[in-house]
Amino acid sequence: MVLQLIIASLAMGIVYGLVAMGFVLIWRAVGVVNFAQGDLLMAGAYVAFTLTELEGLPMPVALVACAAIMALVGVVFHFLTYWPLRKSWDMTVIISTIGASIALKEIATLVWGPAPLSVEPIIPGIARFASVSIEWQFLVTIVIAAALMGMIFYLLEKTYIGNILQATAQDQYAAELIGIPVVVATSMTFAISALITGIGGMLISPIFFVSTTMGGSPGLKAFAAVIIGGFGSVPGAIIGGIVVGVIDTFSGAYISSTYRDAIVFLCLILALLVRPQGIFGEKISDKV
Amino acid sequence: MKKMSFRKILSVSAVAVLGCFLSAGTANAQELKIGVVTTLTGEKALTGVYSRNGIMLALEEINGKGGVNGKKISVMIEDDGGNDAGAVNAFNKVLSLGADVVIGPIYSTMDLSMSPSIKKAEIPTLVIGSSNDIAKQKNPWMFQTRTADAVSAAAIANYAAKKLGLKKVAILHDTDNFASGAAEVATKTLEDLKVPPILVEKYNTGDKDMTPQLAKIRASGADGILAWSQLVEAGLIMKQIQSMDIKVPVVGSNSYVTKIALDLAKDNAEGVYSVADYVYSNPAPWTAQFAANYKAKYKLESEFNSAMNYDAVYVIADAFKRAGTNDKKAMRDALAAVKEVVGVSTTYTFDANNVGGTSVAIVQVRKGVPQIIESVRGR
Amino acid sequence: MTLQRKIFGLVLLLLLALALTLPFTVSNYMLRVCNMTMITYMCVVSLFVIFGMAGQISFAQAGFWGVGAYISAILTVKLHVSALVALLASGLGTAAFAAILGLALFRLHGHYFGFATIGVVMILNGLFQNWKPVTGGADGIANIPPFAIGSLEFASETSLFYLIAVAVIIISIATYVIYRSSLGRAFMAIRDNEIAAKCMGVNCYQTKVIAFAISGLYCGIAGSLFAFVSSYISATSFTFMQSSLYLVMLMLGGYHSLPGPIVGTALLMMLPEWFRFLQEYILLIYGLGVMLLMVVMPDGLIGGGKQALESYRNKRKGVANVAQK
Repeated sequence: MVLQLIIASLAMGIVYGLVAMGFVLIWRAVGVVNFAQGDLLMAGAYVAFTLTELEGLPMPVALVACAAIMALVGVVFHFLTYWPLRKSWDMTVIISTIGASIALKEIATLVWGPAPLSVEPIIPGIARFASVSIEWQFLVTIVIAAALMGMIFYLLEKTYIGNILQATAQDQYAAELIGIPVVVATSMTFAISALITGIGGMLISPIFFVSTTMGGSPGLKAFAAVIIGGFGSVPGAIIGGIVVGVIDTFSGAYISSTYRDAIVFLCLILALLVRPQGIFGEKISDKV
Repeated sequence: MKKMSFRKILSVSAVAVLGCFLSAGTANAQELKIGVVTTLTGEKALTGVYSRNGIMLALEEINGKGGVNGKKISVMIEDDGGNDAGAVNAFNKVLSLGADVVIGPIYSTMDLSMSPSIKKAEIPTLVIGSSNDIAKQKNPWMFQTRTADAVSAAAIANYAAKKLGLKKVAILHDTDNFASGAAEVATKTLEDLKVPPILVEKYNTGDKDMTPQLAKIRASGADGILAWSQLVEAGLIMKQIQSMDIKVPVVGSNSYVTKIALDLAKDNAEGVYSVADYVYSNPAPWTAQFAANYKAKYKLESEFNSAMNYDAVYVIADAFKRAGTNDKKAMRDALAAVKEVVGVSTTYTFDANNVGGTSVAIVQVRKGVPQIIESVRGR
Repeated sequence: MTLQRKIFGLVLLLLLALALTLPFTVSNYMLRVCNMTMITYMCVVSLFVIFGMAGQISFAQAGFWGVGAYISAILTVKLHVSALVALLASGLGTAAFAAILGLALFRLHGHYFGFATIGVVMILNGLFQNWKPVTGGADGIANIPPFAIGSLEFASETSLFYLIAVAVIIISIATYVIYRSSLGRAFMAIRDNEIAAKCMGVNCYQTKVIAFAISGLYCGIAGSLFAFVSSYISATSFTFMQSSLYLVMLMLGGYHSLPGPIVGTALLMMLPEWFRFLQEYILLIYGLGVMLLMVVMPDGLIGGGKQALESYRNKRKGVANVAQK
């Protein structure tokens, strides 16, 4: 039973980690909490459904296509919610993302209908070993999500593009002075954020189905992950995601399955009170 | 200070001025107006679409045959947004539009929140929620159309204990009003049968990963699972039970044999039992005809929301026929006297507490299609 | 200027008369919407106190609203306490709850406090939904008796309208008094610059706790009135989403001044009712509308209106800097 729970919690945790990374990237770049992050997860799942079930694309192609479409969604999202408000107070952007969150759900309902949908897994069937019996998709999720995280991490820390993004995140004005096109940098950040969150949605869609409300709970739990890991830290988001996944699953099994969410958020508050800067601290100090 | 209170008054007055533009609709004694409160937006929008489809289909049929006693029936549908306050707003809205009868939403909490307004307005209202609390309101104007959980949950427990011979049952249910009420009844029934459930596990609506709950059920050595869920969770639970290699019989609530849940769960639904108000594959001629008409019109399978709202319109039509007038008091009395009206989901007879549905069917999924095994008459 | 004032006073008097006769001119349905709007307004004003004035973003308001509602429901239904006592208990109880929470959470600064309040509303909602012996669990609490003072019963929508209107006016005046008091200036000093406020001798921690307690008081009263108006409450009303909507209402109306919450609440509560005919498109337009309004008027309707008015005046008079606050 314990091994089973560990694998399930790892899969959930790594998806929370992906969404949490999405949060962190936008936070670092423009100092705003994106309340529609969970809905980008949902958007990714619907895109995956369209590509695999309706268009019948083979899985690797669908994965790449989904990433490309979600990047585009991110850019559009950037120009609708952030860019027109870049000069005003960050709260206005937050309100705008709440509006976007409502709108995205309704768009999905109108386009795909209110009925939940199912998506074929990348590897169908059930993996059985030791006392564990779990869908292959859980393991696939862990592998692909980890690979994606590695790639994004490399992109941010080791490449020229990463340097541009980080420079813009630290000081937009200074970045502009040294010739970085800020609009490209911020829209690229939103694109990457939407991309990884959307792929997260694609990975869990065969396990948990596709519905317009699927983003709500992962969105909030990923947010808890961001805080536990440390706001602004990419490795913190990943670790935070896994911690939240483990707390979520194990408290469900050993403490109370109904107070699972409450326990996660209690941990969030405790984590804040004990160590407000999170496990990994904050790379950029609080923006005022 | 004075200025401030004035400002407040100013705003309230602005509201007043704008409110004046909305005046009540005019009543037409010739026809019967049904006000419908259902969920068209927000997280619970799925059920509202089915409900509206069912109502529109019934309306088309009745008016196509020239109406009731030559009088047409019309509907106005208002969105409740999926929450309690919204339900009351929508209810008041249909009242202001001059509704003679109201059909309420399927979620029991919304029906309960509407109850005081129903009583105050003295308008006959058919609600589709199945919670036992609805009858406890003793509201003479509120009619619980659907078979109450007391009947269906007891039927599930009885079937599991007596027919399937299960001795160590585990219960898994949503924490919402409908499922927790039903699970309580089932627990009580099982205790009376001397086979109390060995484990009761819960989850919150919207929870996706049931691994913790199912792992505990597997470890407990249960020989059967009784489950109450909404649509998506029903599909999820059937799939996760199979993927965790739990090979015991599953008896679920109506959601488990809806087309939506079956499409989600696919092969994993095979062999699952359910106690259902309605299944689309029911061979009874009246029901089969409804299922076929519904599919032809809306290009998707019907399920219990559509069936029960469809029935509600027919129950109203039956009462209207006998009342002969759209007078609210006369309609209420005619509804209270509804007896043995055969609908597509069950047969309706309102008892002293205004509970209408009388029976449920035991169903098993065989080759992907729910088959009716037997019908259980509750009272 | 004096003529202008006279006209302004006349208009106000006319509007006052209109407001007081409101229950006689609109349908029961619209009256109910007005009642809910006024209740929501109290919660938005509570957010105005903690966020608009003191600058501390809080998502806990819907949770407080729920605490107030449950206190009244439990006291009247299970303990048969009189409604007036229950109303006071809701207000004070929620204020105390907020104060205790504030003592713990105001060790956090800036955004982190806001993040913690998200946790608060999630935990409270979990308790409302699942703590069966106290909150009735998913069944909620039904048959809450109507509000009454002695033998005077407020059961009809009309009488409730006046009851809530009185509460709204008291809360509005109280907020205005706070806004103009040294306490209010301390709130705003913290909002504008916490370090500077500290230098001027403001006890920031204590002041923030007071602001949070006041906001709890308002929400508690609003929750109690909600319980009496609807006579049935369940956990589905008191959600994180509801808290976000309060924030949207405040930001759309304008968070700088008291008319902001009035305009924001009235707009976002009334528009969905007026546009009911849109049916399933209403929420989409709602969401897009919020985004658009933020772009067009980032300071909210009142802020944006003021700016427009000022620039118009500047143009007319050719006078620069007509600062009016």
